[in-house]
Amino acid sequence: MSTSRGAVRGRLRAGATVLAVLALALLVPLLGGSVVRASPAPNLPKATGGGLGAVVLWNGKNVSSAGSPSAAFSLSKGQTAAVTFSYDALSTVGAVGNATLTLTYLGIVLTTSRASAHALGPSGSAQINWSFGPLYNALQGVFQLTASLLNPNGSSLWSESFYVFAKAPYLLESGAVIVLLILVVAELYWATSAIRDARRNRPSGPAPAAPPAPAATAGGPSAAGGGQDASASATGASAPSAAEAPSPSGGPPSPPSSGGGSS
Amino acid sequence: MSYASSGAGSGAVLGIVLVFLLQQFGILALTGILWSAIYFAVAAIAGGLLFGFLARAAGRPRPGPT
Repeated sequence: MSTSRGAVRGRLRAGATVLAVLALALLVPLLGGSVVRASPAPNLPKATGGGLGAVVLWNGKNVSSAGSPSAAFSLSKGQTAAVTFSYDALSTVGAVGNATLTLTYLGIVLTTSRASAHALGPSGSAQINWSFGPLYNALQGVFQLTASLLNPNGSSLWSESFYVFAKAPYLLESGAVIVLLILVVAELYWATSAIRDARRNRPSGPAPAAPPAPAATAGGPSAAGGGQDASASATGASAPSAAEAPSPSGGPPSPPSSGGGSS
Repeated sequence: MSYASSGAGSGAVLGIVLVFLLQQFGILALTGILWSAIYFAVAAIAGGLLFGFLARAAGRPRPGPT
């Protein structure tokens, strides 16, 4: 009996040991898997149906949050922004060759910055330390930046646009603003001076729409044709009376002044 | 007529400059070249018409003495 009990205990121990080993063998990969899943960088995207997933961070913030001009990232003079590209490309897409940042103003490309070549690979990250540079002395305002990932041939694999508001101190220390303000003052001066001169030199008297008498005496006010004559005959329906009564502006019956010498 | 044309010229330049200034101050955010061209053209035409008519009205003869 004792031998049978010992054999049973031995079998139970062996079974328990096998179970423990199996449990460990099952649990270790699961534990390991969970550790592996938690380890990737939280910003690393997953390749999607398009074959490439990418996230661009502007000083740690996702650029998709600045997808409209009203939500543009603000950048002051002398500041540098760390723009980080994280990408994951499927093998069908191929390797990513370059990460670029393109600055456009009024639809015109001003600058293009490229990440260094060590960023090559199917997945990984690249960083561009982007600043406005000397353009800050000339321009400010809302600019569109386009972050792109290019393959080694130079064709675009992925791109996303966002906005940056480059702000000069007091909004005035920018060459373009100063030039534009001077232009506004100059043009306003010219426009107002043109209006003032026009007002000063405008002729006094009725509008020259009513032609003087000779047309009426020539016979038939509308005979000469033309819009002006028609309007004149329409407005001054009493053309003959106008011929008789001198208009105040024309001063027709003035005596011949040629002979009116002072002596 | 020369007053009206000079006023219209100044108004057109003022319209263009105004769009530039609004873009510089971040009030306008023109990003596409087509929309930028449309905004500039509309501003130039509006400014030219406004100041041209102002100068033309200012240069119109006064009503005669009654």
